[in-house]
Amino acid sequence: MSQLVHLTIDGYEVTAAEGTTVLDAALAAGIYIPHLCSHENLHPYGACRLCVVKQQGVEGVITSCTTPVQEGMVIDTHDEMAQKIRKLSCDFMFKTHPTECTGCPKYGKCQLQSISQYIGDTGRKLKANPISVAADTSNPIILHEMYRCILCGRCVRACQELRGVGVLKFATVKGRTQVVIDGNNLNSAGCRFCTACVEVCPTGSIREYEALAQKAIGKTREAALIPCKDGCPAHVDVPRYLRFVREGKYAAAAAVVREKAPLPESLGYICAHPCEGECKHQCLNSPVSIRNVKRFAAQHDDGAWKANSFQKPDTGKRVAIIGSGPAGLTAAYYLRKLGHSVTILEAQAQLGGMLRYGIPSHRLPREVLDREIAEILSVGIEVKTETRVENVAALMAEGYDAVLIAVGTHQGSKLPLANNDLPDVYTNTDFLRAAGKNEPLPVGNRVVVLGGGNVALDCATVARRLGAQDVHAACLERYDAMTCSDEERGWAEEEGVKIHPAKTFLSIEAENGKVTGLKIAGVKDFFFDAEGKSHIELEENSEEIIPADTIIFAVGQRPDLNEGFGVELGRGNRVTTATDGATSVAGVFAAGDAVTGTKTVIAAIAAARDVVCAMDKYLGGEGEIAEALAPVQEANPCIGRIENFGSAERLEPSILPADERVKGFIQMDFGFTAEQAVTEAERCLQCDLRLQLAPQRFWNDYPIHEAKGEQA
Amino acid sequence: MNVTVLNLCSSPIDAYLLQNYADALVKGTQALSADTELLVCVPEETSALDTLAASKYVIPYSPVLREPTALYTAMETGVIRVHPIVKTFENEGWQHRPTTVVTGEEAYRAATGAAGKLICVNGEVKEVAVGTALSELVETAKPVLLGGCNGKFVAAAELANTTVSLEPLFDSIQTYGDKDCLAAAAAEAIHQCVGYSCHNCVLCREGSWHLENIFQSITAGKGKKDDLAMVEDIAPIMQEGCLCEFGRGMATAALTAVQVCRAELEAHIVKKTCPAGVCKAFANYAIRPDLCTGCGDCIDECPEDAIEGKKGFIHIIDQDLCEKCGKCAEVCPENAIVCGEKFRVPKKLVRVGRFS
Ligand code: SF4
Ligand code: SF4
Ligand code: SF4
Ligand code: SF4
Ligand code: SF4
Ligand code: SF4
Ligand code: FES
Repeated sequence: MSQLVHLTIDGYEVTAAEGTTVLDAALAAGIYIPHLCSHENLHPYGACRLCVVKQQGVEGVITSCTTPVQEGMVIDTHDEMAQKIRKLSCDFMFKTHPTECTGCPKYGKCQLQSISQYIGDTGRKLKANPISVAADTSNPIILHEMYRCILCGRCVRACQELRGVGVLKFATVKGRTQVVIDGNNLNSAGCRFCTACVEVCPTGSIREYEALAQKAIGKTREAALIPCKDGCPAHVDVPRYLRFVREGKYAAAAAVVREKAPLPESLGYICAHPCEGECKHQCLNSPVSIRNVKRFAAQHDDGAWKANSFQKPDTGKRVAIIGSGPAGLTAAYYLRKLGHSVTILEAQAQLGGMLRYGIPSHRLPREVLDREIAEILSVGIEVKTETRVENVAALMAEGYDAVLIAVGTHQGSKLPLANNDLPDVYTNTDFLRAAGKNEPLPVGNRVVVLGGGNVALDCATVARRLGAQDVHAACLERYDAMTCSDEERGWAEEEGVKIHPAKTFLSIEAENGKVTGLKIAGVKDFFFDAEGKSHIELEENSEEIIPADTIIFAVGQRPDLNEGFGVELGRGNRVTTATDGATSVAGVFAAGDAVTGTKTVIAAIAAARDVVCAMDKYLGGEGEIAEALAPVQEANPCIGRIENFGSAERLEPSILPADERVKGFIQMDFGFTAEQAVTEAERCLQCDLRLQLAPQRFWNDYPIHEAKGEQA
Repeated sequence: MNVTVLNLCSSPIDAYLLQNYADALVKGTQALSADTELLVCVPEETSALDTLAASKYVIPYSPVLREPTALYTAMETGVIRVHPIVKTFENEGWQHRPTTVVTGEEAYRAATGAAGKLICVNGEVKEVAVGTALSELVETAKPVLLGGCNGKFVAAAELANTTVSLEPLFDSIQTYGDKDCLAAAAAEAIHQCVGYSCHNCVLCREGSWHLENIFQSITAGKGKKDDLAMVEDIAPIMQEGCLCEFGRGMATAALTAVQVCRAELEAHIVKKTCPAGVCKAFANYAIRPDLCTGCGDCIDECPEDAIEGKKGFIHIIDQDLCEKCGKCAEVCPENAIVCGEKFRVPKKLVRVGRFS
């Protein structure tokens, strides 16, 4: 513990730790001294001269950002000469600066602008000395508009002192000092795209491109700064676990995932990774392969996190959970940890919901799923399989205090085409469920799937594995607008699935009660009118018949519920809920696809966590499920310079060749090796490091000055 | 081991000592720095000090290097920049070892036992006893510049009251004669400062630009009435507010220039003349009609074809074309071409002797 020093600032008695500066002491006490080159996380510089103050007994002024506190100091921040110096410095800075703030994107959050308002204009007739340097838009992520630079050096210091990178430096260009890149461009010079420079720049000189900045609007600082974490529905702390992987602490990385989502390894196989859709590395080339690193980490989980996992004492409350998909399992897990006794009621013979009866086993090995379900059940959850709940009220009557409906969307639908009732015409859900049960429905040699989402492609690739040689998938969307992931479509195409985008389905052709093909036509344009009705404009003479023995509809699915179930249902048969997941019946909640329609596994998990909080509160608890499972991490901000860091290409996992994998339901994606996982994790820009930096503050953030109101 | 840094990059005396008294520098430094590691900073590569067996740092000459933090950053990064706190000889020492900085003059004094101050008077270095009045050193009617570009202009009348001390202000004295323009001298001093400023702090970086701008516009004939008031407004604030002594000194040089050279500066601004005839902007060459013999030598010399004339006619300089190079005046056998004088000249060619 350092010694305390007492001083007087503007008549206020102030106490500060030895070694802090007069400026720090004043600010901490709520007394504002203008300052621009000083930044809480950087070494003082003494460059802007705004922070000068008078110290009693010392000739001239002192620089408060570089002067350590001393016992008994008497400081006057409103000294006349100090104010003159500030005004002159401000005048000088603005003579190099654009005359108008209008049009500057930093307007309203600019420290220079704020300080100039505080200090005021002297009207001195000095000559303008603008910095004539064009905007540098050649770098990704970061935009340099150095004609606004006031040379406070914060960016240079942040890059050098904090990050150990040093790609920004001062240089003399045409006789003037400027901040320049130590190389041809940021990437080749070795920039790590940590955006610390953006964070500390007090003016509009170093910024993120507007497209990125716009995304931050309305978000919390954390959400805005860490887009991957924000993009993940469960807000898994991506940069933290990537860092653990880089450090070789794989189990700790797995624990980070587990803090927000059970089933980490399954997610590692099949998560739709919305995080990657937001990853900032896209601005450089392609997103970090977050999911594959997660999978690698989950595969190296050693269970050490269990020691940190909370288990609350029994509450005596009983909860029934209908359905055991990702939402049901997640809810069961946390509700049990909260001390409630939990019973899962599952209509099928095994647990897993869509994870088992929707996602084919070649994408998610069943050992993995079984292991993770067992892990969840190990907290003490009662399971009743082959138990279909027909009515909620009847279930409640069995003595449950609360019920969660997490039945997913297990009912496929067919389009109203002629012959859609023939035996060779299936729905996605029936087809995939049968495959999941290991009792596949028979397919002919030629199969046509109607639909262009991931489920449609699952149907197509399962059909391939069941022996169909000629598999097609036709959909209304254009190729580039298909809802499936590019990755899955790529795999399907490798396996010989032919995609027919921008097609409408005219009829199922049949002969003697046997399907013979699907008649389709090309779509020139399709749109929804004001009433939400779809309109399709056909391409002339584009009709064709795809010969087929089997037809599979993969055009949407809905909860397998009816009026008799006893809760209010809305559009698409989905359960109507309040925002906290409460249904029309007291004590009955719903979450996951049954509420939202078919979404992702991670969205169901996130929704389940939310509904658990609401249910726990309903049951008299606090609704608190946050837990720190991973060891504490000290993120080292000094990341060092790496030339062409931003060019590192995304690594791809090893995938079984297509002709091998269509032979059966064998695992096809082998994920990352340790080396790959670490290398891929190294691509992360560590966007979270910026959170270590103090956010920029303005003079009106400091109370005492306001109270005194001494200055114009 | 402790470290001694011999700084030969920040005073005009240093170059002189290096050239003439390298031996004394070696001896003196060794005397001052027994049992320490020696580091020498020199403005250019030299072998003169090789017997010191010290590490050499080549750092361009700059008065800013009197600031120890600037010397530190320059030695470490090659860039001269005043950098308070982060790294200083005082706080952390060179590579975390206790460090002393020695100037060339200190080394020289240690070697020779000299007690006087070395002063560079108009480019020539002399040893002068401390306490000597400047009036004993120089004789001049015009103000002098003490201590170089970041020093101080002192009025001639004050020289008797100004006595030599060991301060760097007395490293140099520059005197000015009738043919020297003080406005030009002030402009030149500030111009040098712009070049030397480490550009770290706003007041010095931008202030030097504004001061240079003001003095240059004065010498360029574009001076305005309030220019001197502007210097008197901003320079005193810079004297207090600049981060280091260099910037404060520059402000002092600018301010004292206004204070003690006011008449000459005002002549530039108000009368639009350069009394010393130095500032080209005011130079205005004309041919005296009473002296010109119409020989034509000047026409051949003028690079701008600015002179009109015929044998036996009074020659005329076209003021719009004249670039004020003064070559015509040099060749005129009659000394008929003069600068800065006022008289009537013919508008068109007139025979020699016919103009009145
Ligand atoms: S950087 Fe700040 S002061 Fe400059 S134009 Fe933008 S908002 Fe205004
Ligand atoms: S490394 Fe970070 S602080 Fe340095 S230039 Fe790149 S983004 Fe800015
Ligand atoms: S770019 Fe911004 S942070 Fe860097 S020196 Fe200029 S104003 Fe300061
Ligand atoms: S670079 Fe890293 S921290 Fe930034 S968005 Fe991508 S994964 Fe997240
Ligand atoms: S006054 Fe400021 S800019 Fe000038 S040399 Fe000193 S620190 Fe550098
Ligand atoms: S050189 Fe002299 S004398 Fe001869 S023409 Fe020119 S001004 Fe006249
Ligand atoms: S904040 Fe102290 S000089 Fe800039």
